[in-house]
Amino acid sequence: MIDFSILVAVFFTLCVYSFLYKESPFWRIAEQTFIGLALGYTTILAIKNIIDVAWIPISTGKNYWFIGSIILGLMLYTRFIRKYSWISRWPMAVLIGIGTGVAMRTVIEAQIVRQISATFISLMADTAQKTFNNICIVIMVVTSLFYFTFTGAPGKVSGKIRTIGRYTLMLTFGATFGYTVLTRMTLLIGRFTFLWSLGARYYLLVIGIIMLLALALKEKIEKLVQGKHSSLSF
Amino acid sequence: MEKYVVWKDHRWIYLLLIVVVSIPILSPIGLPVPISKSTMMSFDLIEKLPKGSKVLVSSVLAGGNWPDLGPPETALVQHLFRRGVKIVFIGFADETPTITETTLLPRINKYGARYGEDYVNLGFLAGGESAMAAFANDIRKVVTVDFVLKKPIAEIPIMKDIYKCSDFDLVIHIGMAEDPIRQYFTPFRVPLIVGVYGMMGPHYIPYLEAGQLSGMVIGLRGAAEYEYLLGFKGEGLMGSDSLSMTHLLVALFCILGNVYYFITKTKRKGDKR
Repeated sequence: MIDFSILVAVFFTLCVYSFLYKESPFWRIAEQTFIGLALGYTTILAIKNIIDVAWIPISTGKNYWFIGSIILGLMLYTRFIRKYSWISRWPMAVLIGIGTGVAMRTVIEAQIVRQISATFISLMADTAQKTFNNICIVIMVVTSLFYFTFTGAPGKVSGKIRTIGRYTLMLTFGATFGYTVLTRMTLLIGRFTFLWSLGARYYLLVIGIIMLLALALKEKIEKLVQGKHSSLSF
Repeated sequence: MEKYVVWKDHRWIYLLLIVVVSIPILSPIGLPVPISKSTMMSFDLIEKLPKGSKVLVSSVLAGGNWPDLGPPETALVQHLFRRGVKIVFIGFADETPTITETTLLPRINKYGARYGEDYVNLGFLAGGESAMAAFANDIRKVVTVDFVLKKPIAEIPIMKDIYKCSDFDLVIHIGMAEDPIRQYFTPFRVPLIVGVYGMMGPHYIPYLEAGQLSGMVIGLRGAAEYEYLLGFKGEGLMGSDSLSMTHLLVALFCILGNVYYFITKTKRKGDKR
């Protein structure tokens, strides 16, 4: 019994990975199908969301304030009419204002005050490892911040402090790079765990072989056509 | 020298990568999984939750980020069901409620938990951080019905005493950590555990050190650690061997690339002279 959901998933996964070899019609099929599906799904979900969140409360008389939200939403579309495009700036301003307001309400405490106070630590802790960590935190925070002070005459001491700050930043970038590799590999592993799973591995082999043959045939035909064209031009 | 460098065609590297990823999946090696402090903190906190505690699982889980965020959420939710706590799911990505129902929950043992009484899915809220702030301040203002039964939330038993974020004993957020720190932890001081993308792990460690996060599970690697602690074999442990092998491969290529660079640099300098 063929499981079509797995068949489709394997086919499109291989279509996307075919790009690693070179751009092919399989890759383009997957790309265009994905864009079409994502657009359709998002549109339907957006309409459903407007009905659930705004239209039902208005039509049942529970909340008429949402009429204002719908008008603001419609105003966004005026950007497609050059003459009235300035109107779209108003809902945009409301959106940005709300977003900034909501974030700013707590950002000072969450990302500035708490982070600064977390560096006010005792240099001498109860264990040697903790003491070493605390000293490292203080030195690295101070030198990294100092690296970004661009005023003042350059001197030997300030140059040394900046160098330590630069090394601290490089260590951070190294850790971030390592974790970025981890994330990218995780995505690959996720797909291959699926492709090699018991339900999918037979589809993988069959579809993989068919796709390889099709790509080889396509290349052969392209070479033949190219050969004909070049002989004609002579 | 140049003629020995077959890796100049990057497709050879892709092929090698596919082989290195595939071998441990087909034949697991069982490499050790050291437990990180952030995962241990998350595990200990959930382990100490009394039965019947209320936990909010807020998430941006979707098909595209499943390999990185799915395993941490699966492991954490599995632990919550095992502890017998009450779970409220809310999604901030359009796919989240569907993926929770069709992919996440069927994979885990719910220990007889009943929908509506022990757990509920409140669906998806559009609007990102603004929606999260509105939800945390007054749940009933932004969510009227649940996702599965389309029942008014006032009639759902689990939602009886839950009105805002401070009514939860713990919040777990799967996605980025800044938004929940700003909207769940800072105004309400509710303990917060996050399951984050692997690449964001180093960025969030300062929040963990500052006490703004009570725990953190970092990507597939963190999920493998959590599954090991839980004694649950999921995608994390299945993929951890492949992850270690691919990292070794990347490290090897970094070394080879540098060796090649320095050899050719010396040669180039010699040619100039």
